[in-house]
Amino acid sequence: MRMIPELHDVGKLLGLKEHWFEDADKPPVSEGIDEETWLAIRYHGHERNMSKADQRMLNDARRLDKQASGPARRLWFVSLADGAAASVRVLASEDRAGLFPLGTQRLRLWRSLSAPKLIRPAEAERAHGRPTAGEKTQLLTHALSAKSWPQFCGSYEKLVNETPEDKNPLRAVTSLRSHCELVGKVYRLLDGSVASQVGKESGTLSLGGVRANNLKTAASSWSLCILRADVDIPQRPAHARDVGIFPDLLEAMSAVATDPSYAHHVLFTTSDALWLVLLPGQENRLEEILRPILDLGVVVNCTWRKSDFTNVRLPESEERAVSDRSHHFTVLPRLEEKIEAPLCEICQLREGKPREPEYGPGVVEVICDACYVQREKERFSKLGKWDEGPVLWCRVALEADGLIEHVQTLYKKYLEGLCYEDGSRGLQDDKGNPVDIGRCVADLQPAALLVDYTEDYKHFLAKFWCRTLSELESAGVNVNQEVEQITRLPDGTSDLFAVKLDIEGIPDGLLDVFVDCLTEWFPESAKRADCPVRVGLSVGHAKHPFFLHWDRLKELGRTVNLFSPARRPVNLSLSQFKAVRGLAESSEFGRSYLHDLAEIERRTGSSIMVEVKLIDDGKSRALEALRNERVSMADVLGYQSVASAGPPKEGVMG
Amino acid sequence: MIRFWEYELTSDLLCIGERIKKGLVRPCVKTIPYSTITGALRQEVLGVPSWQQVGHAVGFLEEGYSEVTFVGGPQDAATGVSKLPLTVFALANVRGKVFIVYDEHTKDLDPKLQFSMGALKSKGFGRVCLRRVGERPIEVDPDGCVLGRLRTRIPESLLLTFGITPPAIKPVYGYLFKPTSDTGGVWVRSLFQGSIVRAPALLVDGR
Repeated sequence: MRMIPELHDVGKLLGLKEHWFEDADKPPVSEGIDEETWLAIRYHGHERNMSKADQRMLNDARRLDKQASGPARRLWFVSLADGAAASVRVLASEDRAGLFPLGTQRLRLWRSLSAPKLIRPAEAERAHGRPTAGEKTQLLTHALSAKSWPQFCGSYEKLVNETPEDKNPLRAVTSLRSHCELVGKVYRLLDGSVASQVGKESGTLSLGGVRANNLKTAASSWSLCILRADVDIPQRPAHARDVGIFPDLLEAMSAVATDPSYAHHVLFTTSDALWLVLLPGQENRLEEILRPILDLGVVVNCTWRKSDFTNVRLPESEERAVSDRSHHFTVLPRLEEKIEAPLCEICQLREGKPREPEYGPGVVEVICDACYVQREKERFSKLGKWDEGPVLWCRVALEADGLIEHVQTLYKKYLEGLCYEDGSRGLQDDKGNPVDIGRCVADLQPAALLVDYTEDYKHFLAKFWCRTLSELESAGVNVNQEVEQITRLPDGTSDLFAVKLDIEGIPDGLLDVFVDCLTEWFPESAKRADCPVRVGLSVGHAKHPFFLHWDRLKELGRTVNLFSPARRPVNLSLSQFKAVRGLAESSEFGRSYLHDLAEIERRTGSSIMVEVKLIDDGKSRALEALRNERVSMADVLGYQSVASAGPPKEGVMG
Repeated sequence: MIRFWEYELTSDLLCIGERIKKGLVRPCVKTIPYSTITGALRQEVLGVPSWQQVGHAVGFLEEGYSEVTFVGGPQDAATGVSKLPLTVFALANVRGKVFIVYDEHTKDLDPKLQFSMGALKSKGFGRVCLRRVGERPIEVDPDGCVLGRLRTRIPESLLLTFGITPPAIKPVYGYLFKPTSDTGGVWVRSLFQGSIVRAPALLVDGR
């Protein structure tokens, strides 16, 4: 049997400090027992605090044979992958700051930044105790007889999900499951990429032409690249029935993430981005990996970062990366320099061909081959029938750009709030000296943390979708006839859908559902202006060109984003949204009064004169919102118009 | 060194239509593409056909315009009745900037230019007034380019004409029409607004 690298940390399921069975003997070899997985469990750990005898055994286990092809090779890979997938840089000096009590579940920083009180390292033995022989044997037997990681997880589902990667406060923020699965991915990539070279006494291993004869050299001289691939849809379909690119893109992203040849490259996905890991020599594979996506004619903007295995860095936000061109590039679909024939009326990017009249004699459409295939699928039968009245387009997204900075901020806040059982506050090392929080944040390797974030986002989305349907139903919408799912995620939910409305304006209930679900799943993220979970709602006439909705919905700048044609867009953080809504719905603020205030604001370019007018008019209740949340009267007016929109300003053309 | 005439554009009502066929709603572009302003410059100011490669200009709109809609429709020639209501978007109270490449053909341009551009000119849309800023053309050093989001639409083949360093760092591609005769033309690959490029500061939103 081959090593199951995901099981290397199985000892952590005992909930204790020790986890790699430091003093355990090799279990009796019997049928079905996986010896290599045993090696991964026993010898993947770091050298710190080991006895000399144990150190010798570890070195023996990791010594490469002449062909460099035996179990030691795979032990290298599991150790390297473990370091790369850890939530904090390997051997971060601050990881002796203390431990959380026995039974502490992993901390979801986006839900709460408060944590249990820390136990000093010296008291950890007393607080954590040691596992009994029976407990150890039972767990080991299950692990070593498992045929695969999913099979093992089937028996330990909840425990694997809720056990933190470590009881150490620096690492207790990620789930053991995400950590182990990342280790599995990196392990398999290494196994497929590292070349063994024969040596006289012991062989060497080589990655991307860089040879290493010991693990330490490999960790510091081999590199890996984390790449974020942001998908941009350049097509500009005007008609709702032509929006097939969205489900196709979702399908293609899912195909990449689940294809056995590429799945190990995919760390995780967000709404329109894939996060990939590539090893040296695999750069040319990128186009192959992205092929199902590129074949749809979309543009892929890539931001990447290279690092060694001791401190894995993730790509920065796009804004920072583009200023350094060497870390940013774009993979384009085939776009001709010049097109002589008419352009495709749907995507406006390829040569169109006149097609058979579809709506009767005299109607000819010029459509390219790719868009024609989409058109023929006729996936959106409901949309095609909506000729009159308003339609609401809703997009919920987890924005990839800025996600790392967001979790780093949460992590910093969490570390700053930690305290010990004895009441002392602030993170301290084993000698009681304060730990540099900034350095801890710099040591964060957020891949596993982001995997956990995206997992919770899926749960959030499922809840949002379910509650949205109930809300629409209770508002009298026939969800079978008047809701069209543009995207359909594997669990049946949707993050882009359209609703046929009876009246203009964005239904209040839908916003309430979003606010409730966001506050339930991401309360700490929701408090922040850079919250990456966002909603965009765009309402317009059924015949309003789709690409105008999409122009607004594709980049959701803030948490709540509301749009209506010919009206001022409203982009607000959650707290601003609550303040704006409170003011807009107040009987004190009629529309003409808001117009007056917005005009004063526009003319003076500041809110001071607005404040003066509010005080003069005895409406100082609004001052708090203006000052604390920095909302503008134009936002309040904008919200009022969009949420209860009448027809837009209109003239008649002769 | 590249030199531009800088003009301030004002218009009461401007409708530069998005390229969209059929449909009952006609949205408008919220910038001034190369093809629109250059075509108008050639025909209305320089007096040459729009396909003649003389004179190059781009522009963009400043915030502050309002978006308005008009309902009308193609009329039946015999009855004068519109069979289908067509909603057209346009921009009112428009202010913007236009940059005309200074060369032998444009060196003597008037400080004040007035002409029509865009869609629905016969209905009174698109009358624009351009007032020159300064007596001398602006000089742009291509070495002094900055990184930012492009504010207009420019054919890729003309990037250097406007001091933009190809290739774009993060392109947003589309196609602009390039007339090649009085009756025909081709579609050329172009950078659209929002592309991240290294360009003269006057053509981009700073980052």
